[in-house]
Amino acid sequence: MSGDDAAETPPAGALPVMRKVGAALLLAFCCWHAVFLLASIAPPKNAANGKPNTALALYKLFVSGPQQWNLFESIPDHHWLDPRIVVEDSRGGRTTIGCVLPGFTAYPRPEKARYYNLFFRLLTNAERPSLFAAYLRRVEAGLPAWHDGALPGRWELVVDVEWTRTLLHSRRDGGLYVPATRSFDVANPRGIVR
Amino acid sequence: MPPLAAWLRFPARLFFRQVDERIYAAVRMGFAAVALLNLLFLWPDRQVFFSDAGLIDADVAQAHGYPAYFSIFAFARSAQAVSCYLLATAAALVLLLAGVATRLAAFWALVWQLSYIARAPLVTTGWDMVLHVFALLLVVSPPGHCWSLPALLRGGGKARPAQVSAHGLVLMRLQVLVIYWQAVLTRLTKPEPNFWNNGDFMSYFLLSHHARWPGPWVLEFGPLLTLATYTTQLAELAIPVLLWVRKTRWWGALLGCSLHAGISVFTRDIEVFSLAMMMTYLAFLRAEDFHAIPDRVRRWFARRA
Repeated sequence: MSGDDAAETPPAGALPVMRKVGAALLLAFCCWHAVFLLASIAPPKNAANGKPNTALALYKLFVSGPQQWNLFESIPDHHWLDPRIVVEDSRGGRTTIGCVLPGFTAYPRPEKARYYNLFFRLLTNAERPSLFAAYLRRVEAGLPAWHDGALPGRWELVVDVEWTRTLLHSRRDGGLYVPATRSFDVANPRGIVR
Repeated sequence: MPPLAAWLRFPARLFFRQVDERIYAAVRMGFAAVALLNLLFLWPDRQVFFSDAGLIDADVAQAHGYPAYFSIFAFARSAQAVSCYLLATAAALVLLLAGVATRLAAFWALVWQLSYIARAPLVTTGWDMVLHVFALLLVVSPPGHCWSLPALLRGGGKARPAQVSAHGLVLMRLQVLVIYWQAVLTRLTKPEPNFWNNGDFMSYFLLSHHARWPGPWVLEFGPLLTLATYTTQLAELAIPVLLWVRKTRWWGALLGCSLHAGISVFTRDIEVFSLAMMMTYLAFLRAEDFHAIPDRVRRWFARRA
């Protein structure tokens, strides 16, 4: 570190024993954490390659955080996300309701970053499929309350997305995005292309 | 002093240097303000993200907690309990801002960060992590009593600020270095197609979901956006170094604030991230800045007059 606001280190001999012990513990923590931080500058390796260290994982959970700093999404090729629930009643009529619980409210527009993160990760995060399955079960459990106490007929979570085309193709014909639609329900948590 | 002894004493000299406590006070107040703003934005969605009636199943979130699940939301599950916990956290952050029961309030802020990140991992963003790491560093840092409500009530505003240990600031500055440098290195080592290496990143970013004004206009500015891609990388490498060096720290702050203000202009709904990163720059203040900034402001107003 460059010279600073600086002054001098206080005389160690002047400190009582308890403060000396406290200072030593603080110094040990600072040294360890500084080394840990410096080591974190190197990009994190793929966790699947090695056995996770539980002590280090605890340290990351409670103290340091995961120290994974992407700042920008690495491959921003996703443009649009529109999830909603489509319910079919017994007479074949279709009703569209919001996908946000509680209350089946609409996916917020203008979109909020946290909602986008939530649904994008629910739909694409292969590491945590059980969270998506749990969400689908909640929707199924909540629909009767929304529908006069009776489970409506078939329902599905329909998600429209748009993917950004390559710049090369976009410059050739001016088309920027490719739309795609998938639908999900309890029986099909991986989705069906529509 | 023998070289070995000097070397062994280096950590103590580095971490226990004495610095002006107002630097800690500035970081504490900046952190509390940004964390409070974050809480304010979370408030309308608290039932969706944190309650048992919401989108994320508490038991499944708990099962995913590795290596442990730690969250106050394990106990605060109903709509009312969630609201109460957020209100109590808001009160703690106000106390932190005012410098009252500072250490306890900082610890509460840390527990809050841990709790909501664990309860709703899918809604977390980059600024949640920035606030988490800074909450921890505030817990272990001197509280900066000079700028606090009790000091103000005692008429301590005129008292000379204390000199306190620099260890918290050293760790905060290192943390800022890690945030920027790791981000740059991670991008450089991404497999193909690597839009950062080929210069296409900004074009894709401005066409993406994150962009405020996506549209065909982006295609017309290819070379400029390639330049912007590489400039961003260079800026992120330079910001922590410029901030750390005494003579260039204001240039570093200007560059960092410009970068994050630019991101906020062209991107939707991540203003809190920009504010959180600007808050981290407060850790690079120096004692002389507390005289220099008011002097410059006074001179500027005098010239205008």
